[in-house]
Amino acid sequence: MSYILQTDHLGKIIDGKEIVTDVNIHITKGEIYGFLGPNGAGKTSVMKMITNLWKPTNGRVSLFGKTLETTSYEVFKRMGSIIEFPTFYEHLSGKDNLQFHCEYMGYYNKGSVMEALEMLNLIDSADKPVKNYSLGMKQRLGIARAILCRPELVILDEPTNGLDPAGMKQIRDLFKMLCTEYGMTLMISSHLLSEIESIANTIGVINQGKMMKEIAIEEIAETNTFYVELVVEDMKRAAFVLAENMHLSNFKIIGDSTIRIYEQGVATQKVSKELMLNDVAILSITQHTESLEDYFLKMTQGV
Amino acid sequence: MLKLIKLEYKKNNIKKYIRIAVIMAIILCLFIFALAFLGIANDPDGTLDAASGTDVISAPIELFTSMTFLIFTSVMLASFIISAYKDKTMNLMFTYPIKRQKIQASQMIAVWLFNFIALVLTKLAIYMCIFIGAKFMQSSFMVDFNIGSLFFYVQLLLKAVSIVTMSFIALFVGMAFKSSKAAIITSFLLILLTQANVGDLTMAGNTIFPVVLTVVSLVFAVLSIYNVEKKDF
Repeated sequence: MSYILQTDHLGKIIDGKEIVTDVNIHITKGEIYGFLGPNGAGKTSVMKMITNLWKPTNGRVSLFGKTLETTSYEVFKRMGSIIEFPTFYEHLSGKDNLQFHCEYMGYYNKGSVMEALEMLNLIDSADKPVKNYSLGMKQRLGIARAILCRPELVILDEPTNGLDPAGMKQIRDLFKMLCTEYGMTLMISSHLLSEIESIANTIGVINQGKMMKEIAIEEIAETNTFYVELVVEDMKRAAFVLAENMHLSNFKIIGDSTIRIYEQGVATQKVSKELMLNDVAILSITQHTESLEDYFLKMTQGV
Repeated sequence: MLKLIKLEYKKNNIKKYIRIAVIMAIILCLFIFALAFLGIANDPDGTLDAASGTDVISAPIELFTSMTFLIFTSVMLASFIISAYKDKTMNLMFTYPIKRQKIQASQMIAVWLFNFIALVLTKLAIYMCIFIGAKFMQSSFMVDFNIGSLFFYVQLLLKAVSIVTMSFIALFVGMAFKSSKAAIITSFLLILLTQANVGDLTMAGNTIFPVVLTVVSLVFAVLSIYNVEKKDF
């Protein structure tokens, strides 16, 4: 399979300290890749190496099938990015900042600046100097700049920082739209899973500079543990009913009165009916799915 | 390259610098004019208070224009380049499909070119003022130039090249310390080195020294952009 962006055992050592170790990322064309990790996990470091701001100590980065060299430049015509936080020429207006970006990228498409400003609701502030922008507006202007030249690959480092919930929702919708309508591939880093889970196709989890897991969202749903939790009075009897009458084997007894049934596709009604028929008093019965959030926490804290 | 230089001018609001340069030129012109014809450098008895060797009008003209523009060039290099590193707009520049060395070289050339032209024009304006003034008034300083000779112009251009190029040393120091202040302080030290005198000892009249210093400055200019490709930002 060919990837639009791939890193191969990527590593970075600064002053003898390993910042990034053995990171393997695989991003296919047209997907949204959520790059997840707690603060200080090494997300920005990896993204800096992808955009050539940092040179890797070990391993390599491949973009569009070609290995990124110290002297690779042309490849950046096909990319847009925000690394760390968006920086601007503060004394210039938002519109001028975008126009300069077009000049440097060698992208001349009339109307693209206004279109990008409009996509991010910045038309009203287009002529104001950026130094008067709020944090959220700067973030939006940064996104506008990253997508301005219709790049094939967009690298965004915590793009929703400083946005209000409504703004976040709007940006998430925009990302989806860019992906489906413009065919862009997006790599979005975040320390908040909730920001990414609804839009990402694949999630890469990084912690302490190491890649913990790279997994498709659908796969997470499949491997996710689903269980029914029962609290009963007579535990022994309940366990017997489950095993003998319902032929369940994948359940766990926790404490004196709690049973967790991990069997896939077990209906709560069926369980309660069967137990009642056998005179087992049920104190409570609840269905649990381990959320992506739990999964993510398990991933990053279990080290 | 030309396009990059133009963009630098636009981005850094060059009009502001043109305004400052024009104001500086006018002040320098008035000051030198006053030195020559209004006797502000004279003793109360009317004789000129200047050390031997500096009683010619080209001495204060060279001294004050060099001083002003060496500092001004360093200030501009600091705000075009060192500030760009500090506020991380340089990182943005380095994500563009342009060679990093080319980006920084374009910034250095942009500042160099601007100050070279500004310095040459300022000097020409001052020399013209004195030349015209001397036709009607008595100068306290000896008028020691001939605007009709080719040598005068060649010398003027070469001296301007030397002064403006020297600011690359200041840039190098400023970049090493990641500080605009360091760059500007260095430019002051360079003035002391090239223009000041300790008793009778001065490098101002020496002809080999500026040539050596210009060559050294060019080495520093190359050094400031040499490593930029491999560095992490």
